[in-house]
Amino acid sequence: MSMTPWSLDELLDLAPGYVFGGLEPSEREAFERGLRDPAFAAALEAEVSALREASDAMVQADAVAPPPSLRDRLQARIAVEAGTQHAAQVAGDVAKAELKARAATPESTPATPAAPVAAATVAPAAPVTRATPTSRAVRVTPPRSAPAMDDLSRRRGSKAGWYATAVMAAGLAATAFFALDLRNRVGVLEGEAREKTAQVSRLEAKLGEKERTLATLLAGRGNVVLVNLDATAPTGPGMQVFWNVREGRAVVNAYGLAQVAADRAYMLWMIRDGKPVPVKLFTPGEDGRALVADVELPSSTTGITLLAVTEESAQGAEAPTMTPFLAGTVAGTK
Amino acid sequence: MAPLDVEVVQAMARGEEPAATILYDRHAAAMYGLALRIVGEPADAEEVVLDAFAQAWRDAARFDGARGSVLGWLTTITRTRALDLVRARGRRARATEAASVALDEPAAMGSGYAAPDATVQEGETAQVVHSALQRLSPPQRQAIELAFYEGLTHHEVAARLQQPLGTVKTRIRQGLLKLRDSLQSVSPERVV
Repeated sequence: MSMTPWSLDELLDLAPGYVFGGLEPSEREAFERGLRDPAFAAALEAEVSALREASDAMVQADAVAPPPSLRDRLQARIAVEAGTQHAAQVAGDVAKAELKARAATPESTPATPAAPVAAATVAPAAPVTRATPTSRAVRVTPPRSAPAMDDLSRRRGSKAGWYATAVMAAGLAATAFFALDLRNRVGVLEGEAREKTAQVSRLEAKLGEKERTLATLLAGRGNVVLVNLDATAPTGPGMQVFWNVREGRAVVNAYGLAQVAADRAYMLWMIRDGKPVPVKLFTPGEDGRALVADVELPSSTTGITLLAVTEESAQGAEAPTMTPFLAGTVAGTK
Repeated sequence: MAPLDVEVVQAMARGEEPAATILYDRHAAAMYGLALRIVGEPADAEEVVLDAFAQAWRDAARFDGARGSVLGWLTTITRTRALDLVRARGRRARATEAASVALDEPAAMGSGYAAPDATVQEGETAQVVHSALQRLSPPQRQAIELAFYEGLTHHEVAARLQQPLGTVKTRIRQGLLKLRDSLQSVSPERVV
């Protein structure tokens, strides 16, 4: 008994689309269910295998030698990516090591610094102070009295040993403070580095957007149509549409727009053959501006007489639900 | 003895950079030809191939040999990137026009977009495939090309050709199986 309402023949007809990745979601789900169905699995797997062979053969038959320079470029690219992966691995190892070290350090360590197991067994920890909480500068104050050590020194008839021990203890304590301070500073610097990296990513994203916008405009060369959409009121909002007719793409620059509710948005329409066709939903920023790149428009102005803007549901609309508050005539290629 | 494709991919997954070059040397021509066919311009095809092999390097550990050949895996990556590029740049209309021209020229498939200095690799398999493709009926070939090189769904192919959906599905499937049957006569050159 089959688990799917589809017949085997129907599923077999879907197999090329499955191999090419060209199935509708419902079809893909049905096909994958068929692959799990014991009644169909063997036949479908055999079909997929056969079609993959055909697909592979088509690709091989179309082989064209790429330029020799491409091989060098790939090697350079792989070297960079391998380096990045290696750096990420090292960073990960360092982070793991630090976590391990922190886990192994008792909670009380910062309060009683100076790991100095050796120092503690020799003498009480020497008081060490820093000029500021974050300062690396330390001042070590030798103990004013150390009776036990004094007795020992007296017995040995020399204070030189005591001073040497005290200085050593102080040195160890200072080193420990320095190490702790250094680790804190490294942590701060790492945090700053992460923030800088995030800033760079954000800037790169913005730059990428601007580059796409420029590409849309520049790629048009002599084929950019500028449509000015003006409000009826002289001080109202406005919009410019830079339409790269050759590429069928446009950049929209809107300004002076009022804010819209969360469930509302502005919709750009084109009036083609007298009928409104939805083009793009967008919302302005807090400053009332909107710069929208990668707007898809036809690769010909034929039949398109007007561009217009209305406010609609954020889900969009098939037809305008209000009179456009911005409109501009499409004049033709400049 | 040369390593199998899957062994090469496994080496890439271990971070062995020379393996990426081996994979490139084996399949770059097929991927470049595919990309060129889809995007139409050599410079764009180069970028597609570069990105595709870089992605293969990054995703090598995720390759599952049980789901198909290395060639099929690379084909999926390259084809997806090429189709994305075409869609992003709104060139579909141009590609369709070019494909229609190619369909009108019996010998065009596989060399229609070749750069002037490009070399078409005419191995035994390639010749058989070209021959088999020529034996397909024009509607079968057209439906396959729209699905494979333009990435159209069956529904979109049916709409484009103004044919019933069932007819289109059958044409694509029968055409591909005929193609595959033609390959049975040649010993497979592929290394899986």
